Amino acid sequence: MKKIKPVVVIGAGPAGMGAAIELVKADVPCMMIDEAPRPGGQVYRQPPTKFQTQEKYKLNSEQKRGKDLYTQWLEVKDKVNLLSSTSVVGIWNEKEVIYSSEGISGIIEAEQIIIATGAYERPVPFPGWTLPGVMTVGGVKSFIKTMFVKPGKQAVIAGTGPLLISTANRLHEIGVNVMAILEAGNPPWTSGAFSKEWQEVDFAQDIANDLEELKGNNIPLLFNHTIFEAHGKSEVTSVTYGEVDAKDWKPLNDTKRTINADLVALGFGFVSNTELSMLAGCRHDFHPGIGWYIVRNEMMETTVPGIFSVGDGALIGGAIIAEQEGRIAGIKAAQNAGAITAGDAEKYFEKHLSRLHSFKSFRISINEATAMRKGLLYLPKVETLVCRCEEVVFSDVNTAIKEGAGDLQSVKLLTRLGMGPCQGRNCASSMGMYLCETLKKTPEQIGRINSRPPVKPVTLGALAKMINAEEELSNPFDAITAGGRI
Amino acid sequence: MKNADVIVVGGGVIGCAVAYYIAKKGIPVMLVDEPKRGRATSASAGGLWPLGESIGLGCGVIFHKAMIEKGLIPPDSHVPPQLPKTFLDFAIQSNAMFPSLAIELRETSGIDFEYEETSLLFLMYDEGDVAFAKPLYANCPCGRSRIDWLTPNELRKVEPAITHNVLGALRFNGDNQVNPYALSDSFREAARKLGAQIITHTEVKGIKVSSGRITGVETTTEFIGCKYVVNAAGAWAAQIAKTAGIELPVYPVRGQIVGTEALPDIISACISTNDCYLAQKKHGEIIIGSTTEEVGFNVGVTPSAIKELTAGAIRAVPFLEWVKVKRVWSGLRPGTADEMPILGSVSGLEGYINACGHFRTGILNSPLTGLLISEIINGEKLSIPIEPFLLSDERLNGSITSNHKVSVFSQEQQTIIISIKGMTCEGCVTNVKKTLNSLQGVTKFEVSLGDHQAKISYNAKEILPDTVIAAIDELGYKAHSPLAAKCIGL
Repeated sequence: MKKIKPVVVIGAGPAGMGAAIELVKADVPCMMIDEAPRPGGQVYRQPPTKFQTQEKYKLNSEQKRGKDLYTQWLEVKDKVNLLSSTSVVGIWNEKEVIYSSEGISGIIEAEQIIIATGAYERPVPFPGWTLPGVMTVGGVKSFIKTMFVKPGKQAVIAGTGPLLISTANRLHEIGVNVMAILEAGNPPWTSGAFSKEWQEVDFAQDIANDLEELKGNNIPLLFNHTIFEAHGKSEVTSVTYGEVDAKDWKPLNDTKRTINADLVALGFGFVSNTELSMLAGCRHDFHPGIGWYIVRNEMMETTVPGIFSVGDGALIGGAIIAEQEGRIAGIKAAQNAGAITAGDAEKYFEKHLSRLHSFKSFRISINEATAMRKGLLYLPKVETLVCRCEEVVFSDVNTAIKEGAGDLQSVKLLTRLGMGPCQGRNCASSMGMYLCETLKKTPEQIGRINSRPPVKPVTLGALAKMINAEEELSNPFDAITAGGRI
Repeated sequence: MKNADVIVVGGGVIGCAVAYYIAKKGIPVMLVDEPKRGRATSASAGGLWPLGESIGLGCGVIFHKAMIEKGLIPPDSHVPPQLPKTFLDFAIQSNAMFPSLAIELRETSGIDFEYEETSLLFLMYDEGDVAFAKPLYANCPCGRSRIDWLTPNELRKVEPAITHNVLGALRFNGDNQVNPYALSDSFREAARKLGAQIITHTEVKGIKVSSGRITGVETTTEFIGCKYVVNAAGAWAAQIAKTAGIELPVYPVRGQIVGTEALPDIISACISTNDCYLAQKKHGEIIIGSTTEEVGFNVGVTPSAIKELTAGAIRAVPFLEWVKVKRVWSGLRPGTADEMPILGSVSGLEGYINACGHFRTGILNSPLTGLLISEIINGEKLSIPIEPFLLSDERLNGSITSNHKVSVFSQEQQTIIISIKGMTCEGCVTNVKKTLNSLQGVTKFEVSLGDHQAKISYNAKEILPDTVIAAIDELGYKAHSPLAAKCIGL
């Protein structure tokens, strides 16, 4: 029997769904792996079934916009081998995808891989950032959206970008007293007046609506302000904040004030999840406005043939862009697999490419507006944790620098920074920037924390029980069934 | 122009130790290092097991078992043969340096390399293991005081987390552990405090020689003049030596390792079994190793190896089933065919000194290696005879090979790189390809005219690398692989 190798799509957010839809349309075997119990990703995340009927009116505009995509997904989903609640722990030997779920693990040999793993919210260390009650705006939104939990009574929201506004309104809606939004920047969208490129983005209107709503809710929006410190013993009870320098966001300490709050929601932009593409050997470059990004061609293919990277996991742009990229990768993968002709592919690409093109300047400006500024590096004190996993404090990093550490890897070996299970997600972006500034070196010289499998937690027991598709079963789909996954 | 009396090439534990002992004697020394992926010091588990390693525990016993399973050695051959007494003497003497070294380096560098007196336990799962352990216990080369035979009950008392499904354990007292990268950091920092210049992120491109003696090294940025070059470039040592016209039989041997999340103290001794070794480090994580593979400079990890290591660890310490894996990684040991380090000068090139080929015991043998090299350079009486470790013609030709046939992997699908001399044109490549194609068990291959080599994937159950090499030789080319050299001795 000839073994059928599927195209493996990692992540079932808008980008992954877009890719899977195109693959199914072209009759290409498609396997999809997603960490969440239900597809949709962070933005189009579907609430648990039992909540759906009575709470539908609370779906936000993003989810309404995602309805078309979701409808198309429903049409094809029976032809997609979806492994939900499953993590990809690594990509090895070029195209072997190792997954783990509920105490077992397995290998899927992929013909091609589409990585659509999204982004995480950029952590910015400051005194008290690890206290319970301090969370990201994404965390706040999933409390509200999927768990229907009120995360606090009195909130302060800090960071940068339009997400702060919508989070404030959602919190207000459920009865949380939002004391203030601390916007570190003073970006174009905050005035409600949009430049031409932003007008073309259909959710520019959402931002305008959100701003209008914010006024109605009487929530103060303070520009060039940020959080300096969160106070509290076992959880956050008050917050010190103040003004920052307009250019580099350096805190202006003589402006600081303290207010009571039991919830701090942080949103300092996003960082792409690049662990898997790093493991797969794809090339990454540094761009001053964006940070580290995956090198791709117009068809979303990375420098490793047959491995694609799409959506926020490749470059921040939001759900609509992610879907277009996913579809393009899906079509290209179908073409690579010989399921559609180059001519047909050309035809299918066009719509999505032109849509993507119309977002180009928006994407640049959203990345620039939410980029981390170096002034925020003045926030941590000597005893502030910078690496949560290994409990490395800021002064440890400075000691390592004094001892001669000249890059992230040497700091890691001297302090254990980035050696924990989060693989440096919490510390690498801020401390990488700190090293660049302190040592006056380029990001390439400072380097990155090498990605090592497993990129997601997995037990020894699960790995010891790895189902090896190659040795024991001839069809990877059987491997999944044998593992009790479908 | 920069210069120093001595340039040490390589900043792993050996290079740092060499720089430290030289600086301690007040000799101007400069260490030049380019951190490469796969550098073994930071990948290492940090075991100091002079007895264990000498008698084939650690990785040795794992491969011995694998070979019995593959039918490559008779099933009644329970004992992986031991390394020569000269190796054990060296390892024991180096090991004895650690307690005072810990104090010395903490004072000079401020860094604690986490020396822990743990002992090493060999777990006996079955009669085969018992048969292996018996002669070791009876004739321990270091005397009875260094070795204990623990009954299952005694073992349970000292190590309650270890499986109860054992027939007993051998305990090697004096086989201990350190934090490998803290050791190397403390050597480096101490060297720096004593005046050594440390140049990091700089690659040595070549050694410069003029009328039979060293004149300096060429780095990516500049020429640095010196009288002595110490080659401590680990798995890359052969590449460095080649620039000075020296053939060095050192090649990368990959070891894959699994590290757990940090745990409370659950095992106090280091453990060696048929399947793996385990060492819980001071920070709480347990390091589980390790494979022994010749795959060139490939620093990847393989699912099958990880599966076997995790299963082996759970067999030894069942509680680990529920523990999370934090990382898996691999390092490149600087392998030699006879498993002995290559130390000291070479004839015909004044000023060149080897400090390489430490294979699995670089951490353990770093202090004595450093001391010895500093004594050579300073013209002193040596602390231990160096003759067995010199680069001799016999060692160069690979006619001395260890009795450890370590290179038989536990996996069926293997990849090997075979160097082929005498391929001169595309026609030769086609000839070789045709032959490879005809061999049952060869699954994939790439033949490179430019690199004079072939990368061959094969099924270890169906074909041995020797057969492949013989087939290429028959065409009139000269094929060679360090891996095959060992298999021929079987």
